[in-house]
Amino acid sequence: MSSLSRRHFMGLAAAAAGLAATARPALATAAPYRIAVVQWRGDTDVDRGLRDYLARAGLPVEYTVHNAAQNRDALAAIVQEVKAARPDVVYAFSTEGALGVAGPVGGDAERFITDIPVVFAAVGDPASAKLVHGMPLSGRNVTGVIHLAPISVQFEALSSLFAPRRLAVLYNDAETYGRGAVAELRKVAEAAKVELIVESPTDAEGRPQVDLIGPALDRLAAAKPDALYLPSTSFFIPLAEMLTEAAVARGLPTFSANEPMIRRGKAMAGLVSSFYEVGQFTGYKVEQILVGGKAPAEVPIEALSRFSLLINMAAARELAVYPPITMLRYAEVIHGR
Amino acid sequence: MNATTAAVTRLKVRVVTLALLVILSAAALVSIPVANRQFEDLPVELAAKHVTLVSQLGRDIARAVDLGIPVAQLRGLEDMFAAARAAHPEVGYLTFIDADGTPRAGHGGTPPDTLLARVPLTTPGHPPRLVEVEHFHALRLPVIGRDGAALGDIHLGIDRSHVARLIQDRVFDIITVMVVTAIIATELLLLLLDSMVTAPLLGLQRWAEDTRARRGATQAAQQGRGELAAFVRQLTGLSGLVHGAPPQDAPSVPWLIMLRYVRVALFVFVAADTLSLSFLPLFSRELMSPLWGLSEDVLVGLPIVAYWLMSAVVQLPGARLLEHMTHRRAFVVGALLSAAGSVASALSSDMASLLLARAVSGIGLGLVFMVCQAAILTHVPPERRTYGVATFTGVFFLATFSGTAVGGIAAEHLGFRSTFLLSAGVALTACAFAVLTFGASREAHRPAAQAAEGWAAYGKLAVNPRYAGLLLLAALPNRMFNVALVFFLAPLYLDMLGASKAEIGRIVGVYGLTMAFAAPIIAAWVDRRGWQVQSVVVGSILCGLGGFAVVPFDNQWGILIAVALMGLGQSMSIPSQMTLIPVVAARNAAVLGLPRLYAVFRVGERVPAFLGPIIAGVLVSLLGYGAAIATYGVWVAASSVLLIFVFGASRSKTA
Repeated sequence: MSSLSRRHFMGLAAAAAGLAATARPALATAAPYRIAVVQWRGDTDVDRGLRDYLARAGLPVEYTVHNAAQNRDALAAIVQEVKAARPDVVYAFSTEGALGVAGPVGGDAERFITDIPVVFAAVGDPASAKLVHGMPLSGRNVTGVIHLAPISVQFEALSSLFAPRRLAVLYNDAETYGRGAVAELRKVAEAAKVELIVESPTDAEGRPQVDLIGPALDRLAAAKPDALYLPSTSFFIPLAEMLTEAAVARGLPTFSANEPMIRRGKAMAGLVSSFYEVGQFTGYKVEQILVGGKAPAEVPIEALSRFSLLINMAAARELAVYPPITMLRYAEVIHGR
Repeated sequence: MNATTAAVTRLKVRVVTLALLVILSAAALVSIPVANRQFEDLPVELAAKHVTLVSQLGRDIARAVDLGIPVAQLRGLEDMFAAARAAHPEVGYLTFIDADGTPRAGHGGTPPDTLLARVPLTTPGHPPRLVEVEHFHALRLPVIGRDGAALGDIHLGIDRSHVARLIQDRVFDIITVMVVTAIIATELLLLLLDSMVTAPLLGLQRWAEDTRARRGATQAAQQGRGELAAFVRQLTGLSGLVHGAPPQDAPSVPWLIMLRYVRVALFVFVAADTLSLSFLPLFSRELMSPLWGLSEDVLVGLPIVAYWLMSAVVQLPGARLLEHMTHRRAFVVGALLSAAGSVASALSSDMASLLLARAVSGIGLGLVFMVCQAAILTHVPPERRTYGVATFTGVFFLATFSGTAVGGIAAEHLGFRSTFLLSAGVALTACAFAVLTFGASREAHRPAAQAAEGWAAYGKLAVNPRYAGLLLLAALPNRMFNVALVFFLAPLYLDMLGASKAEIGRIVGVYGLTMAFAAPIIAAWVDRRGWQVQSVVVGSILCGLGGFAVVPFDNQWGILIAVALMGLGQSMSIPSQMTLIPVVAARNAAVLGLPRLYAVFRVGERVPAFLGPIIAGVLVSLLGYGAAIATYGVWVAASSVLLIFVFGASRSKTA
């Protein structure tokens, strides 16, 4: 079922769009579905993908948007607002957003939303984050879409590109996914006999600080690694340009799990899912619950089946580190700034 | 063999030899210049393909340079060349030399730069310019950047030994077509000679004998077609006027003529049925769809398993059918089922429908197989049965060889589905031929078993030591070794030894060709001496000994010897097994009827034969290929020795 739904997703999306024209007049007269949107760092391409999908499917939807602005305390207040409003579905962006809304497995039902379907997106590893009981079915009132390629697959792509013997990693220790990703990376790197040097720009209280990024990069560069890896990190995404330019300035070719780092910034490469397509796939999950009448526990948590290898040639030229010629055959080349 | 038959046989040998000489000479006259031209044309033909390959590689280099990668820092060229060579095994080397003359990357046994420098440049859009460098046909193409600047040259060498192998394969294809043409021409000529010359002459001989016995003309003289037959009919008609009307108990078609009819019908049918043999796995792969949770590797082989399994399973119910039908009608049913299966195969849209279609064709094959064997046993006198069965076995393999070869060519030109339709058409031709030639008379109808069969009768058959010995110690080990070696061990082992697909096909094909040509010759000799038991034992031992060939010759020659000895051994063993069945189980035959005896025998040897490759797989994992083949050989040879004791013991008990 899981692979079937992935494979047919785009076809279904197109069919839904086609049906929309005939369905809309009837649906327009019905009461709109109410979706509470819980953002972690404002509006993203994922949110846009979700809205576009549901619009093309002809679903009348009334959105209520809540932005936590990367503040966990704000999430607690949002949860209470949503509980009072009783929407049909809650959509939550990122691991932090989803954990803040649905809580971890066995979390307090008073503090978290457990009796309204929660659909998350852009969560890297929901099982490690203890957001779900298991995969692909969550075992609770939660489902959603994973936006990342598995760490082992990313490591394989990174190795083909840089053949590293020493790899630098910059992550946010305050983020659940970041900690899990580094633990997983240690395993695959050890198996491949690659030395890892890990840094997190967090202060003594464990909070990430922008001004600590530079010193962290300096320490990493001093170890003369072959490349720098940036796991998916919500904290870094708004800092894509600054962070990746700082890495290039220190002669670090960067591989990122997040698309904006390569498209907007100067990360040299990455294996990524399009955030917009992740949003569309999330819209499909929401539709299965609202129109299909399924419980979130019956809807599998999935990733898109295809990932794109992005190569930023401007960064490559600046660093004089070039991709293998065969990689250029299948990679999406970005000419960059 | 009487004087008339001997004279006709001499005539047939001369006519067929002469005709084949003319046909093959003419074919050789046309083919030899074609084959010769291959040596000049093929390298250039291949080079055109390689120009495309090098142009693609050049475009990749030019794009990388256009993206800002300096030529000196191009990464992964070796990997790119290695992948290109893996996809084109005939490419001996690939090298990129930049505009400054510096070799940047190479893969394969590249000749020295000094030799490469002499290779002329092939400019895009012009015919390839090939020169011979060491043992390569060398080619050189420029790599041009987007701004028109020369970035360097890519050198490619086509391995001359690979080209020679390709030419050899093409020559073998030509020879195969010539051999198939010769086989078909021979079958047609012999059919014409037998129906237009042998049959009237045998009739005339019979008339002469009858006249001498003052019995008058008989319907025997009415046999045959053409001018000579008409003349004979007029002559015997005259005799009728003198001696009165012919008697009503007219004898049937002479057995030699009936054997010819059965042979031709079987040849055409089997050739039709095997047209799809060479491409069936490819067709299965095209229709691949999930079924019963089976893996793709298992599914690909399933249509052919369904086909052979059904051809074996249908034997028991088929035996009952034969008791109620004439041979002609049973052949028609079988051929129509086969044709229907082929049409259904052509129309099949998924794996399930293809499986069903092949199973229907398998039922058709099983029925036709039974009918032809039964017709031979009915018409051929007991003292010539081994020869009759050997003719049957031989024609089966000749037709399989011809059908497979023609099917491959047809599939290449018409496509898989059209070849299935062609197969149905040819099967219907066999059907029409059988309708015209197989008698519908009482004699062509097998008598039913004298008593109703029951489990007790089958039980008695199972404890008949000589029947059971023949089945379990000769037929079964031979069949299992045959399926294991020819369909499993030999192809896989040869592949592991580095043989090409064409070489594997040729080596494995030796089995069928040996059976086709050796079986009738050996059988005639065995019939003359009545050495059926000895033939079964010696043939099986020979087959088993073949398994040992891989011990001293752990290479392609070892497999070739094993396959050839299996062909020779089974040419001796299989026809004699068939002849011995009514002899060793005469009392059982009186109760169950001969068709059931044969059906039980065939089911008993063929259904477990599917275990052959499975046991072989286990042996290979434990012992390796060579020892697995030798172990099978030991089993077959040891079983034959046991068979001697079984026959000896039961004979002394009878005495």
